[in-house]
Order: sequence, then C-alpha cells, then structure tokens
Amino acid sequence: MNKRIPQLVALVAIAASVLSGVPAYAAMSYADADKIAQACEANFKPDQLAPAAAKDCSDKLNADNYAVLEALKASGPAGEERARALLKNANAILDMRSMYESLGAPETLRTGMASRISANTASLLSKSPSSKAKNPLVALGYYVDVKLSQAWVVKYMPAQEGTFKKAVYDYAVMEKARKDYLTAKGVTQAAWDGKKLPERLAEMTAFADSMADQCMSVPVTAVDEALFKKMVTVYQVLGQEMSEPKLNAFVKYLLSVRDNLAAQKASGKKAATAVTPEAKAQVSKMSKKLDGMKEMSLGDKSAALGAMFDLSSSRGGVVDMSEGSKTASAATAAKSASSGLTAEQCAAIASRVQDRLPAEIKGTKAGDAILQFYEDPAYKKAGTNTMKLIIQTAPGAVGYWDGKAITFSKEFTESWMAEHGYTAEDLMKKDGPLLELTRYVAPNFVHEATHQRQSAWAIANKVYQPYQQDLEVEAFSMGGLFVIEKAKMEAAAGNENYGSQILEAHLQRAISLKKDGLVGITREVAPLYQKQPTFEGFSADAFSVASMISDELAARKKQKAEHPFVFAAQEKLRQGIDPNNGSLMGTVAQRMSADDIKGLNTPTLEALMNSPFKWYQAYGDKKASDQQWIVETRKAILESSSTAKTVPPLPGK
Amino acid sequence: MKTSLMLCVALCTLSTGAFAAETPQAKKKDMSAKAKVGQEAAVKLTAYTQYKEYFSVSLPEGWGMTPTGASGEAQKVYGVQSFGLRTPDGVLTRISVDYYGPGNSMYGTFQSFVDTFSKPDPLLKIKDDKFSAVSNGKLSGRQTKEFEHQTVEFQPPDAASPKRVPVKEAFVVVKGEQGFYTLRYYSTTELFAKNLPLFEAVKKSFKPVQK
Repeated sequence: MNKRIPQLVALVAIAASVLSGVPAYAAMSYADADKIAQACEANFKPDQLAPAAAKDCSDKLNADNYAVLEALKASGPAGEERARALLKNANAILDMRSMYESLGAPETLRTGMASRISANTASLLSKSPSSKAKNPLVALGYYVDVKLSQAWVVKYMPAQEGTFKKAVYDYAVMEKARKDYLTAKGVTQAAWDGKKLPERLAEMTAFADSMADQCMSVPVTAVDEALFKKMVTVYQVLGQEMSEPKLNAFVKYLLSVRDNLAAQKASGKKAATAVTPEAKAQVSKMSKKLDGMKEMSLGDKSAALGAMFDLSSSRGGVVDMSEGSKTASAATAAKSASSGLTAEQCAAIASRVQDRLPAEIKGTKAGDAILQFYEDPAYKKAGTNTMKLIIQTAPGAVGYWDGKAITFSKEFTESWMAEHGYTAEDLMKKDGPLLELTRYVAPNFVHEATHQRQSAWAIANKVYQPYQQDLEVEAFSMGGLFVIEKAKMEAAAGNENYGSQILEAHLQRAISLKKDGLVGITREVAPLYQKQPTFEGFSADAFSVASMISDELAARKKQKAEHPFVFAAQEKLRQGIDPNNGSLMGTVAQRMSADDIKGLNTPTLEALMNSPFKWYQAYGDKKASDQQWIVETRKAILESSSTAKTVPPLPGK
Repeated sequence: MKTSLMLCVALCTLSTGAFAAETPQAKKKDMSAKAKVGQEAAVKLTAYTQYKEYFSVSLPEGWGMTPTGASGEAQKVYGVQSFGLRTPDGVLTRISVDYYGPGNSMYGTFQSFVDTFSKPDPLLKIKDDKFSAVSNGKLSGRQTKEFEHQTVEFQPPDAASPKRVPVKEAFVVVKGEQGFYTLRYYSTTELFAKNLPLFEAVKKSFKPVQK
C-alpha cells in the first residue's frame, strides 16, 4: 500500500469533520497520538500493568471522539494494529482491576478468575502453534498462575489479598476438611503451593464430588431430618464446586430425601423407623463426618441456595436435570408445580394489561421515552419495537425480556391475585382489578422495555451488545425514574398512596435513585450482577480476537501472493458469515479461537477485524449519553414543582 | 433479559424461606452461624488510594471496593463503597465514603443532603422506616451532622416475594467550604453493633483534602 494513502485518508477525514461540524480526531496529530500510545505501552510491560496508568490510558484513548485511536488507524495497518493492542491491553488491566475491586466474596472472585480462564481454554488447550490466549493477561499467566496473580494483587490492591487467598485456596487459609482430603491423597503443602489455579479448581471439584458421593451412599429412606440438614449444608457450601453431573445427581438425591421425609411427616410415621442397623450406623458415621463441615463458610452462597430443600415447601420436586447450566438446572429443579391461571387466562390478562400499560406510563419522562421507542418508525421497519407481553411460568422472577417478548411471571401474578382477593374472571372482565395489576407491574415493564430498547439499538447499529452491568444500571434507573415521577404526578392528582400500589422493591430502588442518583443504582446493581463480564473485559477479548484476525489476514495475503492457487483452493473451503449480523460480534468477542478464525473466509475476516472499533465507539458513546440523560432527567424531575414540562432531549435511540 | 432471569430464577426461588422449617434449636444454631458469617472479627484497615485529591481513608482489609467511577463522575461525586461478606439473608455490609464536589448534580448544599436522608420521603414511603434525631459532631476537625436510618432491604431484590430484612444505616455528613463529605455504614440491624467498630476505625482514618 502506498504510504501516502493513510495520510490522505486522514486529511479527508479531517476535512469531513470540519465540514460537518463534528469535533472528531482532526485535532490529533500522529506525533501527539504516538506520545500517548508510548505512555500506554510503557505500562503494558509484564512488570508494570498498573491499573491507575491503564485507566489514564483508557481515558486518553476515549477522549475527544477517540482522537488518538483515529490518528493511529489513519497512519496505516501497523497503526491500526497498535490501536487494537492499546485497547486490548488497557481494557484487560481495567477488567482485572474491576474483578478484584467489585467481587466481595472469595467464591465470586474465584468464579470471576475461572471465567476469564475458561474464556481462553480453547486457546490454551489448542496444539496449534498459532494458538494463543485471547486475553493478554491470561497469555502472560495471570489468573492461571496463582503466584503471579498474587504478586499483582499485593502490589496494586493489597486490601484484596485476604479475599484473593481464600479464592485461590491458599493452603494457609484453607479449611481443615480440604486439607485432610489433600493429605489423604498425598498432596503436600509444597506441592499444593506449586499448582496453577485450574489444577486447584479441579482438585477441589474432586473433593466436593467425593463429599456428595459420601452423602449419597446413605440410602434415601435412612436419612433423618438432622442428617438431611447437614447434607443440605454440604450442597450449600460445596455445590458450586461440584462437577455438573455430580451436582445434578446430588440435587436429585436431596429432593428424594426431602420428599421421603415430607411423606413420613404427612403420614405421621417416625422417620427412619424401618431402617436397618447397617443404615443407622451409616447415618451416624455420616452425621459425625459432616459435623466437620461446620468451619466451612457459607459465604456468598447461603442466601442463594437451600430453599428448594425446605421441608415446609409444597413444591412438587419436578426435576429435569438433563441439560443446562448449574443455575438453570437448579432453577428447573425448583420449578413450581403450581396450578392457577390457565394458558388462555394468562393470554387474556396479558393482552388487557398490555393495552392499559401505555396510559399508565404516559406523561412520565421515562414512560414517554419507552412509548417513543415503541412508536419509532425506524424500529418498526426493522420489527424490533413490537410490544408483546406474555404471562407465563417464571417462578421467583417478576419479569424478563427474552429477545422477543416481555414476560411477567405467572406465579408473581397469581400471588398478587391471591393477596388482593381477585380471580382470573375479575382481571379479564373488570377494569378496577386490571388497573391495579397494571399499576403494580408498570415499573417492571419500564425496566424490561428498556432492555428491549437496548436490543433494538444494537440491531439497528449492527453492533453486538454484550450483556453486562451497564445494561442493568440503565434499566433499573429507567424504572426508578418512572416511579419517582409517577408518585409525584399521582400526589398532584390527590393520590398520596402510589408507593403502596407498586412492589415495595421497586419503591426502594426508586428511593435509591432519588437520594443517591446513578451512584446509588450502580452500587446496588454491581453486587447483583457480579458474575456478568465488564464492558472492559469484552473490549479486551474483542480486540484480542481482532489482532488474531489481523495476523491471519497477513498470513493469507502472503500466501495469496506466493501460492495463489493454494490460497484460492483453501478459500473455497472456508465459511462465510454475513458481516452485517451484529450478533456475530458476540461470537468474535467471546468464543473465537485462532482455529475458528482459520475456518472463516477472507471477506468475513476483513469485516470482522474492523467491527470491534465500531462497536467500542458506538457503545461507549451510547453509555455516556444514557448516563447523562438519567442524571439530567432525575434532576429535572426533582427540581420541577409539578410534573416537569422541560424534558431533556432523548438520546438517539 | 434472559440471562438475568435464569440467575434471578435460581436465586429468587431458592432463597425464599430457606430456614422456615427449622426447629428452635436448629434456628438458634443457625443464628449463631449467621452472626459468624456476617461478622468481621478484627479491625484491620488498608489505605484506599483512589480519589486521593479529595480524601484519604483506610477501609476494612479484605473487603470488596467499588469506586464511584463513571456514574459518580457524571454527577461530580467521588468516592468508594467497601463491602464485606454477604449475610445469609443476602445483605452486604457496606461502608462508603464520598465527596460531593461543588456543582454536583445531587445536592446543592450540605444541609440539603442531611434533610433528604434524615427524614422520610414524603411520597415514597417504605413501611417500618425509622429515623433518628440529627446530632452535631466533629470529625477530623470539621463540623458534622450525624443520624441513623432504619429500614428494610428486600432480598432477593428482584424476587416476586422478597424477604424483608431489617437494616440500619449510620450517616456522618462532614461539612466543607464548598462541597461536603459523607461517611455511611450499612448493615443488617442484627449485625449493626458487632461491625460498628469497623466503621469507627474507618471514621478515625478519614482525612478530607478539599476545603
């Protein structure tokens, strides 16, 4: 390529931005961009990786409409690759910082580390010489190498060392039961200290599985209530560490025990009366053994696990453990066998609530923004803004957006009906009950409709939108803004009881937003969605993959020049994907290994290589404008004496 | 979104009534376990270094820390939330330190913050909310207003039928010439007193930088 071409491109871009009045990268010379890039690169040395310097670098890369990146990209392919590397490295460090900063419990930190390792497992296990870890920090050994990771934590985040040690099963802080297991297997402390995190995780999975096996060796009919409770503790403490088949088997076993005990209670029989002496001895032995589990912390798991084995529960124990994640399996296990609304009644009520919702949310800024989205002709053309409400089984949840429709939980609706003394007929035929239900679910509707709007935006902009915390912050904020303003409107109309007409949890979130603003919502949401990756983590992966694609394209270019027939023959065998498919970016960002890249044809790779820049910039701009809108709208609502007429302009949705 | 649903379905469904069927004896044991899980034993702090142009503070060692970051900076609020272990009820014990700079989009004055947080919201009322009287104090040589708020936390927060967990929050609002600082401690009511020494230690370590 002619070296002058990039400079010409840059000049054209500068001219275009001047003419359009958009402040772009025009002001940044290559020399200035190079200076900033060099400062960033100095921090990417393996002995540096300072989070503060990475943040400073990221801020500079994102400043002035990504001027540094654009100046580098305009300088040619090497500059473009340099821009990718800067984004990849800076974001990987920020992602690591964020993981250590926001994960409170050792278990969740461990999950965070393991998920970053597993995202690179294909690359790490591949025998292909060109294969490498996507995440540049994983490539350097972070997350995997415990000592290396610990040194970074000690250097930059010393406050987190205690949590880190527990997360990586540091021998000094490990519980006795685990140490006993390792000792029995002949694993010394020195050997354990030398193990990488994946090896430690595998060993602890074996330990957790062995505990489940020991529990399950006791016949179901022999287990009494006291032992059952101890076994449930084993599930609570070690369930997350068990292998999936073992966890599923253990859950099935515990449900069987629960049902057996419940049946005994119902029939008035004393537990385990017909148990053999051998089984009784087994119960006693197991009970003593599990007493040794007492020192093991429930930590973060205790709030989330255990109720499905509640003996007072009337749940039917409908279990389908055939597939799905641990979470999904557990959720399925807990699925309610409730009777109540029929499918026809659900459809009829959902249809009536849907008809009423626009009137309920109209006149509030958040509600109007959502209604504007549903009326947007561009989205209508794409078919992405259809309002579709479904009431279907979703135990425990209030509602969710699944990519096609907004679901309200059937169980939630039934519980509300029972509390208010309404029948399905009331909701299908009378206006009063219907209006009450609509009011009750409206804040959740605004929340889920915000997720629908996020999806529609990503499709319209042909960018992948990774599911991460920022999406929830926006959705919770929109729901909160709606409640704050609706309460004000209702009070002005003489109804001071609006707060008691919605779910208290929605009310509380609105109070957080009202009193603490975006910070309050972010602080509430971050701990709830700790396991979701950060925007920075996705960015690091996306630009790492783009770098790998760049390497592959360079190799193909060489091959095409030197062996055109071989290239053509191989190209025919490669797969092509529509580069306009925004969701493809997700695959690129998350799953694509060097081997996957080799299987895609050249036009696809060329399109994919540039997509991360588009996504990063589009998403970064959207996030900033969304936050600004929430901050300004909150202020406008609170400062207005009645319902404000001065609505800040909606960001481009 | 579906992912959040699956997480929520599991968390929400599994956590309700976890200890409902326990005998009084088992419950007593469980309560002591709860205390163990939520209680932070020794007072050991580590210096927090972000936002050092606004304040210096030391926070409990081993706790998670989340700076206000972009969402705070968008509102000209600079601070950190530190959080300990989650209790069996699902509540995170939290200590936060924030600086509300001049021109912040949240509270024009020190007094408006105190008024907002020390009184019930006229329109958004949570049942069982209680507010203490506001008292005057001093911290790091500056005037403070101090008060407590008792309320409930809904756990799991997005469940259809969440549990109402009693919680308590202590506020220390530190006056500045232009902006102001807040130090907050949030805990279940049950563990509030046990973890209070941690908050007292954090308060002692706090030094405002901005006038």
